[in-house]
Amino acid sequence: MKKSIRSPIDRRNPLYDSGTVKVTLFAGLVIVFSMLLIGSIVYLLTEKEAVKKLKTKDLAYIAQSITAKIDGIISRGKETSLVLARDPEVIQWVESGETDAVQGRHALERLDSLVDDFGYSNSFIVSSITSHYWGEHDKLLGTVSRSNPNDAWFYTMLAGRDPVVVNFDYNKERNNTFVFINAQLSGQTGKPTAVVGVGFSLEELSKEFATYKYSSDSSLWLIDRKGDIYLSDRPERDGQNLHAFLPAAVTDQVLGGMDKQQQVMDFVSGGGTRYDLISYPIESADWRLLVQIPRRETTGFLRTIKADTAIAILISLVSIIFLFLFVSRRLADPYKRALQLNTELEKQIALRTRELAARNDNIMDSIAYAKRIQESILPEPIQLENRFAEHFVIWKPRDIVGGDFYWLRSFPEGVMAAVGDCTGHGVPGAFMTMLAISALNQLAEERHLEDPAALLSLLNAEFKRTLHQEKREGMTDDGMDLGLVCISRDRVRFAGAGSTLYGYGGGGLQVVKGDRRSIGYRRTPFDYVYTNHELRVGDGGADRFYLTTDGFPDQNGGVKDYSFGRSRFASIIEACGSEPLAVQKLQFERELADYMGGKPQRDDIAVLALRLYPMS
Amino acid sequence: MDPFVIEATKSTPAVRFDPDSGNLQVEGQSYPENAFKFYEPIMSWIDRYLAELSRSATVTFQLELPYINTSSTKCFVMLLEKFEEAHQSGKQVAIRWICNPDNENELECADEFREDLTLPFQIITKTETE
Repeated sequence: MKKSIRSPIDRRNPLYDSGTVKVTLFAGLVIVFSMLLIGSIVYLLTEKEAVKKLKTKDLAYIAQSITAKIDGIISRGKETSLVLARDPEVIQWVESGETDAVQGRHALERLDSLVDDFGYSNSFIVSSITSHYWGEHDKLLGTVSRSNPNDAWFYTMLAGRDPVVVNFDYNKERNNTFVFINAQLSGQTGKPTAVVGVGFSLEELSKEFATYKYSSDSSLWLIDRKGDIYLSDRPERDGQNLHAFLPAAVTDQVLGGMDKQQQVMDFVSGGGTRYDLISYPIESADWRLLVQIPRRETTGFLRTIKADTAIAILISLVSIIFLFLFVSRRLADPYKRALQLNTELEKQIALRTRELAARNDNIMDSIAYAKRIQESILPEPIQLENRFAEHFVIWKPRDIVGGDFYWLRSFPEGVMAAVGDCTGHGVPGAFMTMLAISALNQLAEERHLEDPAALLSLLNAEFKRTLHQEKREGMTDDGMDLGLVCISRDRVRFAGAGSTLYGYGGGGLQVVKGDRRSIGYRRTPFDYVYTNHELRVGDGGADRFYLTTDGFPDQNGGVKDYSFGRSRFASIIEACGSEPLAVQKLQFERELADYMGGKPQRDDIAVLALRLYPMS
Repeated sequence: MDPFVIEATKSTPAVRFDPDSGNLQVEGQSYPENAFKFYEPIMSWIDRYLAELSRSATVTFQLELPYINTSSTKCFVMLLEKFEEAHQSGKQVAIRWICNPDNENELECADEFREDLTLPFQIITKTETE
């Protein structure tokens, strides 16, 4: 089956408009694109700011805090060691070769107090005089000797220039880093005679590291110049080297920058994770603190924002589509409203058209009936055939009925024939013809065969009386043109009111103009006298007579749209007057049709042509 | 008085009355279904105009009517009678009727009108320009 071509607008539902859907979709896409663009820009800016804040503030803050903590612990340890080294009783006890029991008691109590009351793991006094190594709780841990490499620290310390030295010692067995703070004890000679100090584990600090951790995947390390890890947030990493956890390039960069104030860098690990890393110096220990944080944790909060933004975009999109649909359907679419209005109007027009068609049918039925009446009062063909050798009638009302008519009245001694043109066309014209024919029938009873002019005068008076047009001024002014020909045994007489008689015979064409005053009009006096014209008939005279209303000669047409003209009308008679009237009728009709072309008929047309029987 | 102007239609002529110059023109075919309805306002304008017209003013009523139907003819009869009355009361009015030589009805029509009137009535045959 052939697919029918659909109009762009679905006629069945004029409210459907694919344009609205397209516009809505397009607007939705534009808005989604805008939101994504803005969202991305905001995301990138926020991420950049977050990373910047991490690098410049957060990492430094963590590093500074931890550094301060370590520095504090070590400073305290240094002070404690120095205070112990400068205690007069301790000095005297050591210098005297540990002979005074009271002093020895006091000195060892001091060691106990440092462990019991101040939280150190160890406290000790190592004398170069006695080589005794005293620990807390009155323990004589042993004696030092130069030959024992484990005691090398003591002799180094004793000979060193620094009065206080911090030593770090990673103890594999205990998996712990210990800090020993040694101080020189000097007597009156000024030469160091003993090394005293305290030791403590960094285990506590390790616990504290956890509190500084940024997140579960971040890492904290304390490293020395070689990259050995002394302390980390995860004890299992203590004692290992940085190389185990960072790419070589990053480790090199960190170890190469040991003397710098602060180093911040980022790198991508072998696993593809991006990390930010800060290396911060711990001055009291010649260490560096490393803090490593995965980038995704720094920007983790943005993932929430991302999800929220996506939800916001979705909600906005749905809202916008609904809003657009609502606005376009309900409020702001003049095109749609116009279509709606048009549909309503079309319905109304269809209704009115049906009503008008119904009324028109009624009117046309009425006029069609009027036509039957009008035709019934016109002479029957048989009447004309009986009285004339030949005849033709052209009767063409412009509308269904009209103001033109022809009339015939027979008497034993003759016949009267007339062609009339009443004012108006259509129904008003037809009204007038009824009046005219009725008046003619009445007045013809008085037999004016000899005097058609008298009949016209009577008709004029009768019309004026009937139509109340006796006075010159008035609202209406109706009447008619009439040509009346009276044919008796031996003569033909004509009288015309705005009408002309054409005669044709052996002598050619005769044109007889009637009087110009029409019948019934206000300008025609009540007692107007018409003129009789007698025509020569018989040998050499006319035997064919033509009467016409102005409809035929006034018909417009031709190149310039002028009237057909009376001369042209007369010339048809001149040209084919001797032909049978049936042939002439065809000629008249053809000439008129040719002249009219496609133009509509302008007036009612009536032409009556008669040929007399030869005169006796 | 205000000028009186009606544009031409298929069945009614153009009307251009200029009261100041005294140039009144009707040009075109006239066969309206109801001629009195069309000519009634024209006649009342002419009535008022001619009543106000001073004796020193000259008025030309110029007509060019290729075709007028019977009822329009009646209206022109009435119109021309108004000018005839003005003429007889001593006002300077004249008719100028322009005919096309190819259209015999025009000339016949003009001739018939002229026969009934005494005021200056000029029939001008248009020379072909084509």
